Amino acid sequence: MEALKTPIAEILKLLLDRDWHEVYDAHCKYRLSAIEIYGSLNRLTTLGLIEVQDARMRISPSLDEVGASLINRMLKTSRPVKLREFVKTPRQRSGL
Amino acid sequence: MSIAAEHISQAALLDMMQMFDRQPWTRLLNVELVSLWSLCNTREQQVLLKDLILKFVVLDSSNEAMVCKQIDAQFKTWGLAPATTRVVAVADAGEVDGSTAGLQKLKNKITPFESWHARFYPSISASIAEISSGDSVVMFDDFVGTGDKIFKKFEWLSRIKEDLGIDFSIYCVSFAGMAFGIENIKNRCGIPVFSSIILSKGISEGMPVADVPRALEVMKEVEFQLGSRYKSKKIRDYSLGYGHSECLYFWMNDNCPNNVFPIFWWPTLRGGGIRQTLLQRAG
Repeated sequence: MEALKTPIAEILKLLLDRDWHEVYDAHCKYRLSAIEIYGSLNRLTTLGLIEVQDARMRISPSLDEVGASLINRMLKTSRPVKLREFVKTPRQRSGL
Repeated sequence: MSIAAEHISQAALLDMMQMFDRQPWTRLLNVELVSLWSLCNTREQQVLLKDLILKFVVLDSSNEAMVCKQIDAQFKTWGLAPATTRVVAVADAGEVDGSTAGLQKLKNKITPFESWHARFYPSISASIAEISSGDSVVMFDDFVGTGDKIFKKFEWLSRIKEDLGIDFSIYCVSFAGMAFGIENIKNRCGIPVFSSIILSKGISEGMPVADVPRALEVMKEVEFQLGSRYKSKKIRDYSLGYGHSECLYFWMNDNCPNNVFPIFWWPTLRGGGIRQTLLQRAG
């Protein structure tokens, strides 16, 4: 999932208006590769977050609170692990 | 190098997603597929390549287990016994190829393997001293293309019979083979042949008859983009695959047969340059 996090976030951003979009838009707008789009759509449909029909995609119309919460989480970016050493932990910040 | 994917057409994107879905082995080949699609001058060429890729038969680990089981069953059907049988790879002496690799896979699948495992030999020359009158010799190759190689080895075994004055039965077994190649062996050698996977020609025997001439023409148009030579090989000898085999098969993580359409493995481009191929072939 980690390797697909950014492509998934890009696709979700595209779909937030809840309209149908061409799958191809994810390639044109974000230059995602075919395999990134394929992997992302597979995971998002498996989770029931989106639906894909005839090369078009949209947020699932039956999305519940859990789904909405998942999408919200996926849209957030995380700090790369390798940058952790440059960031103080809450304990360091508090000087304890 | 850009981190953005190379721009492709909508049709190409949908082709690739279809291939990823139906042929999981292509999922590691995004870049190679883009390169192959870029080599095509027309949509008709891309559609043909997609249709052929969708028809590929791949010997993956689950198919490997299945073919070994079927070969074990065939040994029982033929009534072969370990005490009087030698299973011999058709590799040339001192060489490593698909037949020796396949034999290693087969070694612990012919049951009871405690009795069989010492009956496997990496080449005919390695087995000669062990063969006695009344024995059975099973020639093994992982893949049968035109059948010419098996025929040559059969001739050699026949000469051994004469020269040493011993009489033994000869059989032929493979994981996979072209239907025409298997028929070729049966007709020329007159021996029992078993291939677990039998393949037909990708275009000539895999499409409606009316579409075949055009599809062959389209494939030759795409092949025109390939370099005329690679080391000592000439592309004209491999057009549509060696012996016009039109093969759509490979063993996962192994050397691709030269019988496969060269567009999938020929490494040079017309006008020079090396291409990123879908499949790899050494030698």
